[in-house]
Amino acid sequence: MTTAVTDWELWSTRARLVVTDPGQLAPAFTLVESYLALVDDAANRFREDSEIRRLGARSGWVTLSPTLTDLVAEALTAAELTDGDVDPTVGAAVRRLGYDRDLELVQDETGPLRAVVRPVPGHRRLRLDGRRLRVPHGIELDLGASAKAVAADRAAALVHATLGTGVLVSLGGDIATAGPAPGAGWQIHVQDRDEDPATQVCLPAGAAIATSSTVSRRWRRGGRTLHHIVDPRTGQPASDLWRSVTVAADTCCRANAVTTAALVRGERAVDWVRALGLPARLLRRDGAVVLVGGWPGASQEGAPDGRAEARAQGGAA
Amino acid sequence: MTKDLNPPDERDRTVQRVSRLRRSLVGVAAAASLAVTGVVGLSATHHASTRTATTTGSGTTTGSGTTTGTGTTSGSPTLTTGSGAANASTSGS
Repeated sequence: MTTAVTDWELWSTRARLVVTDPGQLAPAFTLVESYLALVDDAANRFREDSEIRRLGARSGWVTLSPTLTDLVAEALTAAELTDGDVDPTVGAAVRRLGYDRDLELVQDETGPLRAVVRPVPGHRRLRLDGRRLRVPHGIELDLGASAKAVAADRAAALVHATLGTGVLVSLGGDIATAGPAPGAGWQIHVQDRDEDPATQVCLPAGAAIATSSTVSRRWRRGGRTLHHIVDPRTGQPASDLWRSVTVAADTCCRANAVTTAALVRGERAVDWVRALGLPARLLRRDGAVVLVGGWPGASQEGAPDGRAEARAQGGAA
Repeated sequence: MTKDLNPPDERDRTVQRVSRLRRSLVGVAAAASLAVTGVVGLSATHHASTRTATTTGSGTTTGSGTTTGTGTTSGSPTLTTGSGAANASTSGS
């Protein structure tokens, strides 16, 4: 089956749109671009005029736009799924770590670090009732851990529902699909950094896949190298036990929540991901690859812990 | 520096974008506009009602007990080994 593809820069990363009906690429791109603009207007915390930034000056009950309502709802769902390991109230912690503007600008600076080790306020202090959100004073929202995945899901669904074509939307590696897939499925290359071991999987129609990394999106402050995956229990970057984690699920929201939480959970991640029953590939700091659940090549029996499934692959840093 | 965008300009940009969308999708413009609203709106409604139900109880129950139950996550796709040209790449960014 012939596909048509377009790539573009978005949110300091790359976006990709693939459709199985090449004649629908242009209108599909227009749809995706328009929807992503709504997401940017709602949730880009680097824009002073975005809805989420304007929320920062308010507290109590506020009425959200439909787009931000959707993003917040999914962020809260991710927080529940991960028992708070992915938490939308990390905004102040992320800002203190210096990630307060586009990544390229953050990486250009090497100023001091104001290290504050304390838990973030926590998602349970928020309450969403319809389009009304209760935000206690002092809580800064950051939907960076979930918004791209939500946007990929919604954009793919929108294109398929409107144009009927099979579609894949990738936003910085958060991949959602909808409608028919080309051939047996979508071919997905899995690799975080060039120096990491790579693999390729075939993703069935309608499924999603996401990768989170402690190696990408790094910057330096106060002589320390920091990354963007924040442990809500400390307000600090999560342990770098895992270089990256990739998970497939029925939605990109779910896949991304699990990959992010797995990084935060460290050693506990393997058993947790296995219990979820999702195919996963975890790349350890020492280069060992741990395959879990239905990931191709993973042991389906036994394996009381992740080490039993670990396979060292060449090329890891 | 944080981008300093003028809110009125931004609103104009949004209006222009929507107008362009409608012009571009001759024949499906109405459906497209409805789909944007529908996908976002329906999803928000769905999750908002779920969220309301969940958070209503959060003040009186220990959340960890219920969220641990997410081990029953459904919707696990069947992956197979890939081959041929890749349609896309997943990486952490």
